[in-house]
Amino acid sequence: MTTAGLVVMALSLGFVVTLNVYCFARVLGRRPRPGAAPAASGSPSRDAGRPE
Amino acid sequence: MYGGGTFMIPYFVSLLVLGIPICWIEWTLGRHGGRHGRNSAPGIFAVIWEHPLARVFGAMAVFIPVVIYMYYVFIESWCFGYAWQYLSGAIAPPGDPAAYSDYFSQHFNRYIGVDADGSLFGGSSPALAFLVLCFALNFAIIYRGLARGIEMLCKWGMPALIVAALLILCRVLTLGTPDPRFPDRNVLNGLGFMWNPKPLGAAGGAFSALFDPQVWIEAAGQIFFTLSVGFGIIMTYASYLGPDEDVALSGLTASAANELCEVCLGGLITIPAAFLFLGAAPLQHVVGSTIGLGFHAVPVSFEYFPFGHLFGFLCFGLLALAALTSSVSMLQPALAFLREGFAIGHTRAVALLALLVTPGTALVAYYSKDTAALNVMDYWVGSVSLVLLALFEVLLFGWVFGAERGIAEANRGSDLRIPAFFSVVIRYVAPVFLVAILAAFAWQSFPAQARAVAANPVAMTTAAVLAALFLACVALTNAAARGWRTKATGRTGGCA
Repeated sequence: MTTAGLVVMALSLGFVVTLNVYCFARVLGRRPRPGAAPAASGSPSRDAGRPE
Repeated sequence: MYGGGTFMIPYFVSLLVLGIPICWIEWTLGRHGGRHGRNSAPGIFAVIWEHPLARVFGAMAVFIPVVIYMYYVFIESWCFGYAWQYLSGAIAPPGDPAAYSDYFSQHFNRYIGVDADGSLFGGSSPALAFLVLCFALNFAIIYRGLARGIEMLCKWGMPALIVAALLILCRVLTLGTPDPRFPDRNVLNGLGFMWNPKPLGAAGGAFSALFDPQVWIEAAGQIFFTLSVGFGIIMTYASYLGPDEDVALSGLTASAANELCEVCLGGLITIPAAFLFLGAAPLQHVVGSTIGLGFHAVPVSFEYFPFGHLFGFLCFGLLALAALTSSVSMLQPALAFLREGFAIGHTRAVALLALLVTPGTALVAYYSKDTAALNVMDYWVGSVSLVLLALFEVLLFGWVFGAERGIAEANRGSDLRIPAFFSVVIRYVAPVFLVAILAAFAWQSFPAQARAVAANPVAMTTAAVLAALFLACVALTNAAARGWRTKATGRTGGCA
């Protein structure tokens, strides 16, 4: 494996991992919306309107 | 084949300029359409633009996922078949590690019927039975509904698949030099084969691949498939969101997770493993390219695992479940369209869709020699049509709906603000990029592909079926649009 290959691999993996960490940190840090029902899987509010 | 690590440059440019913006566009258009009571792409496009062109592309957004389903379900059934063969002991390579590669290559080609048309219908192949089972399972799931079945499956199946992929990754990276007769086939060289920038020709520089339009076409196509954009599927799913539910962060997170699986897991497993066991030369000749590699090189790597066949069963089983979640989603746009456009019940819509899709899948399975029918569908629908639909979506969002208005719509209720410069990307950069890709398609591969279709009766039959199906989709979309207009006029008249 050449140095250029190592750099390409490090940059690619680094970018993708950083993007994931950022996104999932934001998703997990979401504030519950005022008046929103708890987002439990299978709850009527969550499933409302979905294709059955 | 496409410049090794150099390929990552067009790949990430395509992700930033096409993949993520189009993903946001589809989420936003879907949520917007849902607010107006529309769940199908033709209905959503009609809300934004009452124009015959919008109906043609609406038809295309129904046509594309249906056709991709026709051959995707066949590939999905291979995963189920392999999982079963690992469990039942039908996969039994010889004891000599030197023979593994040939064994799995022949096994795969025999299993999918590469040698002769109709070979899967001979009675002895398990592939047809798994295809029928897989097909029935898909329709059973969409008949019963998504929320309880597939959501639960994804919640547990996807993390399990990622854990399995991480275990395979650890094993592949610790294989060293699996065959001492070929000391060059080691892990480091396998990673180098994947990531080292390589010239395309003997005379080119390390980055010469950047000047080949085909490399950019392949990179963009890979992004479309990875993120499932340009299919019209995301729009249908997003249409069921509440009017103020997040689309920007959710869309970006979905894209990021897909990229993690493809770049970090796929990029470190499949190609390096294939290099370890097959060497560099034959990699371009495995049937079905990367799909073929998955059914050829990865099973070879399982032979070096403790409890390898149990692992093979788990891995292909989980892969089959992941594919199932995708194939089910491919049926949703057409199902939503039939229900919304013609006000027919769920059961009838499912039955109608099954009638529509079955002949196409049968065509793919029957004409299995060199996967001729599959290849025609994959090129003209799974590559060219995706780019066309994506171009329409970008133009619709950027110029008809309005890029600034669209970004404001996406930001409403979202947990992430889309930067304003994306309006420039959506209005100018993405359309120019997509037109360039289509022009490159037309210049480089249309003539050869068209000649190949004309020379092969199977390919010609497949192309004729696709053309007829597309025209049928356009006719259905026109009929549905007439109904929507009548309803809207009736409501307006009533109010007046």
